Amino acid sequence: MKKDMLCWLSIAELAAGYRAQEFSPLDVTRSLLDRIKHLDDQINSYIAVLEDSALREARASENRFVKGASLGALDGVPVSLKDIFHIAGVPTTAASKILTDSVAGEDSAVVKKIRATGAVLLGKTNLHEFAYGITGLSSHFGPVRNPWDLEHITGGSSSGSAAAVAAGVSYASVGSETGASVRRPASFCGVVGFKPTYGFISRRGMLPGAWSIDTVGVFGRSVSDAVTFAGALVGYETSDPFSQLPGDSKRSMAKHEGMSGLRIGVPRMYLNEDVAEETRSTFEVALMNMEKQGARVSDFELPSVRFTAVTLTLVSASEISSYHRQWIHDRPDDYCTDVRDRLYLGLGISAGEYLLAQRARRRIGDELQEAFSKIDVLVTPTTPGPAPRIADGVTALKDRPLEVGYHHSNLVRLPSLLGLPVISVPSGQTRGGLPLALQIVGRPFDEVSVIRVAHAVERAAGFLERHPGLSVEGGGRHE
Amino acid sequence: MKAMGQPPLSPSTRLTMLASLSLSSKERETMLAAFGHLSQAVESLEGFVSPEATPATTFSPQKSRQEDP
Repeated sequence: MKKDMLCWLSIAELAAGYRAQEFSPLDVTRSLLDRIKHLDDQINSYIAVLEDSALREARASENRFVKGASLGALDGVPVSLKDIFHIAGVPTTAASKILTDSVAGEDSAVVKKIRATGAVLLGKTNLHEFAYGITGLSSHFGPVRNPWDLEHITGGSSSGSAAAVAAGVSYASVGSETGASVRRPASFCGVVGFKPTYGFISRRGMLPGAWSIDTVGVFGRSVSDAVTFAGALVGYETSDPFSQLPGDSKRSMAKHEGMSGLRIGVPRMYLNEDVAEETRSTFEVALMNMEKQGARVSDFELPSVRFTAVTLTLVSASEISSYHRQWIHDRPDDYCTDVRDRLYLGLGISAGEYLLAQRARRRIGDELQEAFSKIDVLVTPTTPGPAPRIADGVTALKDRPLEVGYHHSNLVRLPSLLGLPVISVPSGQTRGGLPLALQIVGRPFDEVSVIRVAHAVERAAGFLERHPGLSVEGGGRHE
Repeated sequence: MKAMGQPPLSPSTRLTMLASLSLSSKERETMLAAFGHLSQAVESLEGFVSPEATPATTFSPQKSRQEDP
């Protein structure tokens, strides 16, 4: 196999190649490190590349394969993680000036899990500063650019993780969500973003944002890759008070396919004028394909959901600002401007208003619980349109965090607010070649249904073989 | 939606909560505008979760007791 094609293999294909000794973990790791050196100046997806330790881990993996002692599906697979997760001996910067030299004393729970699989940790990915923003442009280490077109945003906050997977400089990556920080960049970058149920993957050793909302999620180029990676990270962590895991979780993370009999709800009243025409038409085609495969698709009214964006904004802004209250007093000029303004907003919310939002959250949850007695999953476009141009600014994202009403901004925040499992899957491309995606939302701990639909959407979309046209000569145009 | 609970804090009251931060005049202006949106949002939420808007029963103690081992 040509060296420049290795980066597009699936995780299963990598494992098969290792077992057949067609190539080794060291070959693949060297190939990706080389690709990072040549390409990452264009997209800026990494804050730190851990070359020495990655090569050591790859050699150890290679030895295991030689001895026939592979640790499993992820052994020797180069992966990355958002720079809010601790790796012992490495700074956890959160893409901030404030934490630039803050070296972690021990591995986060996620890193311990990754090490146990034998995967190779390539490095730490860039993000919107402190995971508190939706563009991926505000970072002490510079903005992340979309591999499909360098003039477009990646979305945030897990911008570097999405861009790295899309550009073939990481096979999978760990991110986190407070408001859609896995799904939004996944959608804009044409990769799969999977956020399991709240608490499914431990946050121990992850810098906090909003503690009642933050959830770990993953990126992969395919549903199988994302599910395989997420499956390796789940597990109850006794030292994490937010960790939770039902007894059959391992079964539920296994591969499930087929749509027959699934009941799919579409909250169509929220697909307002914010939703772009190409996003809308691609979404309708995906729904028709689901029906052809035996799913029952119906419109579904969820009136309380119109309060979702406001509720999430109040809860998250209060909690995040609480965490930052000392730094924002002592070092306000060390924050990116947009992040600082959001922290100020949170400090202007009273305790009573925070509790009001928590009550609203409960009411919205009650409505969803009732809905999930009649449907198995909700399906919506992940974002209202494709990745906007950087030059068009944040307003092009059509985000309405403080508006009550029937608009799309509620849909993207709903799984975060309620801790529901959700996956974003590429569903097509615009005429200009930018990726489009839809999200599948399930009831708590029902990852099975979410994954079933995701596999079907992926097959129908035929997006898997498409990759950004990045080259060592530069460019960043889609193919 | 008409608010049924307490009126929200005014934008200027919210700004006083940031008094110790020494905001510039431009920052104060930005935050006053943002707090205006926030106050409207809070007012809507008050209506959404007010006692009058809450269904009489969202929780069944009898059922819960039966399920409790």
